[in-house]
Amino acid sequence: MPETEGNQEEAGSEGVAPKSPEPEESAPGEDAAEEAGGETPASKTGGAKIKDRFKRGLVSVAKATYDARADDLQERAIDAMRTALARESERLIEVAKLSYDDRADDLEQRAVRAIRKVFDEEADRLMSMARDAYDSRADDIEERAARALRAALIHESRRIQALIERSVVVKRKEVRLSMGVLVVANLLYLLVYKLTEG
Amino acid sequence: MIPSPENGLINPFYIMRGFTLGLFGFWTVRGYWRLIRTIRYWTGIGEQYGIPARFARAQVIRFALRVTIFDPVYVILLIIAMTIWFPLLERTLGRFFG
Repeated sequence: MPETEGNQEEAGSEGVAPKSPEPEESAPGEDAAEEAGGETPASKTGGAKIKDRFKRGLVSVAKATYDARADDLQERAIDAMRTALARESERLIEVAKLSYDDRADDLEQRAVRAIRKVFDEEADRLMSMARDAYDSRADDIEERAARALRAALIHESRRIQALIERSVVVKRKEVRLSMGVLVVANLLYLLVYKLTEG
Repeated sequence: MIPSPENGLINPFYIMRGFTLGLFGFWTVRGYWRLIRTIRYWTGIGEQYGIPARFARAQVIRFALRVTIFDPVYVILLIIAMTIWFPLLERTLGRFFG
């Protein structure tokens, strides 16, 4: 690539510098011929040839220059576009952030309004759906509640019954003990009485 | 000298019997009083939960009967005590009143 560029640069410098004066020189010659009294076929052919050669030279120089620098130009253009895009995206993000910060309250209010609007529109429908669902399942709910309540009552009554039975057992022991003490005391008294009084 | 109503001396056994009967009366009255208090307490508790007062009272009385005269051991001991005390009472009361 550098070689090509160097050659082409050399070719360009060589091709443009010496050849460019030719048309300028020939052009006045042609003009002079025209001024002198008319166009001669020989001079016209020579001028056209020089023109063609000059054009071809220019085109070849332009082509060579373009070919030599096309990749570089492409890379530079891509880099430039990339840089521009990065800068622009950063700027856009900043702009978006600033816009959001500036309009957050407004956005929130709008969101609340939108949600409220949707809710107002859907509230009746949702209420009717809930009411229908409840009506269709009220009996089932009632049965389940009654069953749960009954089970809880049975469980609690069994617990209370067990507690009462335990209390009865404890109290019976106390009463038997006190009555036993009374009977033993009475027997002792009777024994002493019989021994003393006969 | 043998104590008798005629000579103004009191038989110590009579004092013991009187003391025993006093204790019997005290604990009997106290037991009934506690029973009444227990019935009132459980009637109040039952009212909070919608239980009729009559039902609560019946349950407390049933509990008291179960732990006393529906207990065979208690009944046997009671019969023994009454067997001991009826002749003594008859003799004591006959000595004083008849």
